[in-house]
Amino acid sequence: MEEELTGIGQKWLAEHIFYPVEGVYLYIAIVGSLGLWALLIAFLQSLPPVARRRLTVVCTFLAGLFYSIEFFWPEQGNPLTGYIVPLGTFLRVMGGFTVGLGLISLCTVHGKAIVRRREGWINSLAFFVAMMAMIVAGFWQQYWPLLGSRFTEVPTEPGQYTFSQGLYEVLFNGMLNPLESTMFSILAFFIVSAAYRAFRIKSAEATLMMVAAFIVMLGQVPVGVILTNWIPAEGTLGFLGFFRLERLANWLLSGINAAAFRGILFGTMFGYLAISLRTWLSLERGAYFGQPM
Amino acid sequence: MEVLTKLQRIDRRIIYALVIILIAFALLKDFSLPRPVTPEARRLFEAVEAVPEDKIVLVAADWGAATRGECWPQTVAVVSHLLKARKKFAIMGFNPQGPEYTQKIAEEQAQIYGGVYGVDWCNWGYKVGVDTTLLSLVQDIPKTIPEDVKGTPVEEIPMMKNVKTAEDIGLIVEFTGAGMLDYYLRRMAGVPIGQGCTAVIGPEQYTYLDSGQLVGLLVGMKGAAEYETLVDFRGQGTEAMRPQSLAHLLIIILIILGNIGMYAARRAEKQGAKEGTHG
Repeated sequence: MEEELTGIGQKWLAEHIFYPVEGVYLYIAIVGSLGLWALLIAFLQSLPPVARRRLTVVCTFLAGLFYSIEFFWPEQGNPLTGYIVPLGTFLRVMGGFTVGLGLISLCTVHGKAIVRRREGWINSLAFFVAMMAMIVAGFWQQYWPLLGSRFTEVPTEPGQYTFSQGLYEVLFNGMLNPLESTMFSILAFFIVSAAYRAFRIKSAEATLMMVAAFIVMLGQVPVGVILTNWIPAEGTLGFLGFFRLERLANWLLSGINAAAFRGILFGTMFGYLAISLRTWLSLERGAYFGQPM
Repeated sequence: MEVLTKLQRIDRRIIYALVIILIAFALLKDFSLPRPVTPEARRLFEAVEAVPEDKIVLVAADWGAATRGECWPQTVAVVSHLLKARKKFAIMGFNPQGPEYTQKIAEEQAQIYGGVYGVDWCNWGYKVGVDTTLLSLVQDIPKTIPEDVKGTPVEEIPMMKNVKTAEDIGLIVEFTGAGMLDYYLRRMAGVPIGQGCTAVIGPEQYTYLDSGQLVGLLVGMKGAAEYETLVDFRGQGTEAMRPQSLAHLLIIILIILGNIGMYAARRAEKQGAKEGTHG
């Protein structure tokens, strides 16, 4: 498919700078990019904190400005639309780096805890063991599935695994998944206990809330249908069908609840807009923006 | 009266034990329950049926192990329907576990309903950067998703031959336990969007049904059970309706008991105060 390069100067960039290369040129390009990256990092490190912050502010503003202008510019002949895809790719690659950043941060925190034998250092050790096991098993089964296996080719039959695939299966599906699911399912016990303690008829509002909760809880499960399926839903008295629990529950959710949530969402979105503007203009202050954590 | 008063202070360990017993009983003992279907689940089913042959369905698997309980059966139900109705679909997710789970689901369901990877379905994998990915996806799918999870260039996958932009997507069905819908609504405007979500975030999603931004909605395990009824099979969703029904009943009974206990205690207090005054 012939690529459409509608962005301003995009064709020139594609022809002269960002064109695909192969063979030895590819390696030169990779090494060159790494060199440029190292120079950029060294340059940023050499800047005083104030200049570094100003640079961040300018970059943030320009990035926000690009998307704003692209959005508000008329669709026909928009000179920025062509850059949406390459910029998106660039941002996704940047996003990928944050995984590495997260890993470095976690390793630093837990590494210090182990070296200094802080309270609970054994948990930090467990973190390292679990992380390394998952990384090794993940890469092993992905790139060298036959290594250390009796199979000569990757099995395709369900239930058959090479050693690395089996290891990954045990770690991911056998350990991680049940552990996460267990954590979440414990909520069921707390919810029952909390509902028992919290729903007390102490005022008119509490009564209203409890009645609504009863209707929705029963209407959400088949047993609610059994309780009110004697109410006629068809014929002359068909209008009474509205009072069947499942219909009442649905009305509460799609009518009353939706209206209330729409109001909340309107308020939230105004706040979101304000925060976005403050972030774009670097007016936001706090641990993630101006102050050290 | 003293016995009634105690009802407002039932030990939490007794409550936990009751929950375990009821859930275990309902899981082990099979008994039939009605299988009603809400209009929003039916609308999602109809939206899937209405997807034109030349367009694909995007199954957005934005869920992980934590919400597996609800999202897994929902995904199974919809993927079964897609395979049964011979609708081509692509899997993608902004949660690292979601596309992997859905791949597994698709492989299992393809054994039952038939379906070949690359011809009937493919997996674009896990993506980072929700906003930027969706923004790029609207304009150029092969550029945004150069390869599938198996490393095959997307343009070489048979079912992706004519899929170039968001206009070639006939429906997005997003499964999630988090508030990801906003992004899809913002960036994929014009493409019909349906959702399967956990019961916790369900109430928030109803606003988008009224506005027509969502073509259909499955909420929690109940949503999965409803879709299973529509596709005509009994899966995890339907099976889970038994323990869920009993657990909801238990909550209601406990709330009633708690309130009886509270009134008994208040009455006892009033009587005590009266007797004190007279005495």
